[in-house]
Amino acid sequence: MARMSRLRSPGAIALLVTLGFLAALAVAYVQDSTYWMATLARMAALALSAVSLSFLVGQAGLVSFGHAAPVGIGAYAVLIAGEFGVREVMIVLPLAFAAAALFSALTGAIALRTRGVYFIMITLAFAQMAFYVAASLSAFGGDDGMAIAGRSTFLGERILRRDHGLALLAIGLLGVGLFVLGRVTASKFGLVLRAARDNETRVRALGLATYGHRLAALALAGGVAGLSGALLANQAEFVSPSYMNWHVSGQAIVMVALGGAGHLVGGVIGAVAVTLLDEAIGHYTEYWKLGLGLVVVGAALLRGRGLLRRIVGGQHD
Amino acid sequence: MTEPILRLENLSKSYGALTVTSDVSLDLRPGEVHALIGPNGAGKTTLVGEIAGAVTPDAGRILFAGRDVTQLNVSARARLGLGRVFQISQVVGSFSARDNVRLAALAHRGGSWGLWRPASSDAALTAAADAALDRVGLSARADVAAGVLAHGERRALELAMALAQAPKVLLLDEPMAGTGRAEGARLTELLLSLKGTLPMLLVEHDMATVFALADRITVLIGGAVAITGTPEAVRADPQVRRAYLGEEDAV
Repeated sequence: MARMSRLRSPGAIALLVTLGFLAALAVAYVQDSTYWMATLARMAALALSAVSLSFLVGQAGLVSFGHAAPVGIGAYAVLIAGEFGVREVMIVLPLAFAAAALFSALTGAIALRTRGVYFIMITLAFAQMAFYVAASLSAFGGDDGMAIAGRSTFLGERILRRDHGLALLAIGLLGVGLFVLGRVTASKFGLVLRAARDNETRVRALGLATYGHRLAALALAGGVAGLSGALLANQAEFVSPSYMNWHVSGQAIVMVALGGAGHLVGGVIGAVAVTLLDEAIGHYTEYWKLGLGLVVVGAALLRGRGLLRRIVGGQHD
Repeated sequence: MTEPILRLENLSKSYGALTVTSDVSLDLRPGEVHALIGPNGAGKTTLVGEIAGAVTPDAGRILFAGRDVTQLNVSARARLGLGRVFQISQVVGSFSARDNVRLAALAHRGGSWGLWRPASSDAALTAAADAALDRVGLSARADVAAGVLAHGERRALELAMALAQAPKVLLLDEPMAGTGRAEGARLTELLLSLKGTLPMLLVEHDMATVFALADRITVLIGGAVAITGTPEAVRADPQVRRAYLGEEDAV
């Protein structure tokens, strides 16, 4: 029992996920497959976004249908900073985090006045606003988007130029993100957040205010999504409003639901599954989402609580 | 006579033409169990809401620990030491019993913005939770999810949560609601064991419990206080017998 719980500690899970990705990257590197190295970088970045959404949906009970917005804002932070000649990771990543966290906090301050379906709708509405603002930025590509000035540098070194360098950064950030969000989930702050998800009346009656906790959770998840966007922008070397498209938000929810919202690692599993399906079926037909839909329905029918429980079973909190 | 810990002064509340609380005054003295009874529709639930802070009275004052709390909300009153057990169980179903009490202890002790250290590694918090669980006899069930506890156990868990907040007053809103005979007897036993350690305002339908526990009883009829007195005085009061206890001897 104690050994199991240690295996499920945030550190152990983050380490396992990081090692898994690193092993895959090592194989791709040895095979000299730039395609797989790029895919792994993208996969890790999407997983980071899905993990932050899983934190919101599964732990805080806040179903955001606008998660693409902070991701896109992180991507635009890379683009815009690049246009001003700033490409240093140590500056660009904090900038992406801060911009996305600020957006999430500001919109969240209003969205948190609603609950349930209304929260879903209002987060969607804010994301659409961000989408149209981005589309109107004619200096930064407007509707069509724009190539970034170049991949970010790390302490002046151009180590992200090669795909394995970028993949390493993405995997590292995914590991750190999982660990940090896992710690926060298990903390006292997380205890209040999870309690409010289940029984807000009770938490209030205990004399705990939930608004601040939820707002902080939104800002934190938004910031992490911003990091994901910064990675995606570097991977594609291109940024456009489509990062913030509502169906990107929807896909993030699919990832969380597919992997299981009960545990943060579900976000990783969902992101990997969706990306692999995209790669596997997407080459044959542009209707690959039909295949994805079937998989989601299948997963829901089989267990209803995500792939993780199918594979590992047992209780996850 | 010692200063009452909780005092309601001339509380009134109307919804349109319907007066649900009519000039209610009552007090709760340190250490006593004061039961509030009344037939359905007497305005007990509204009065509990007014005391807890969920319902704002139209007129009157509520003094708690020497402070006017009439304008304070539920959270603020809870922080001042007003512990509450709900009529309908309010626990976090997906949490273990221990985590539920941890949450309550956390609310009392502060530190709910601790972002990094796991809540389970806080020895003082866990000790406070375990002590409260022990006091209500739930130690053996500490790791069971609250959602799958038996009804009576869940009521005991709520009591543990209230105790973990080291309340100055316990507001018990129909703690026996929905319990079976054996469960009810156990809960009454439990409340008896707590009697004297802290003042309790007991709102309850179950007359056996009320007469077993109460030092004083206030009878509410039609939103107004009909009588406040010892159980013997209330039992003998003809008006109460007619309006509440019924024609035959219900006690």
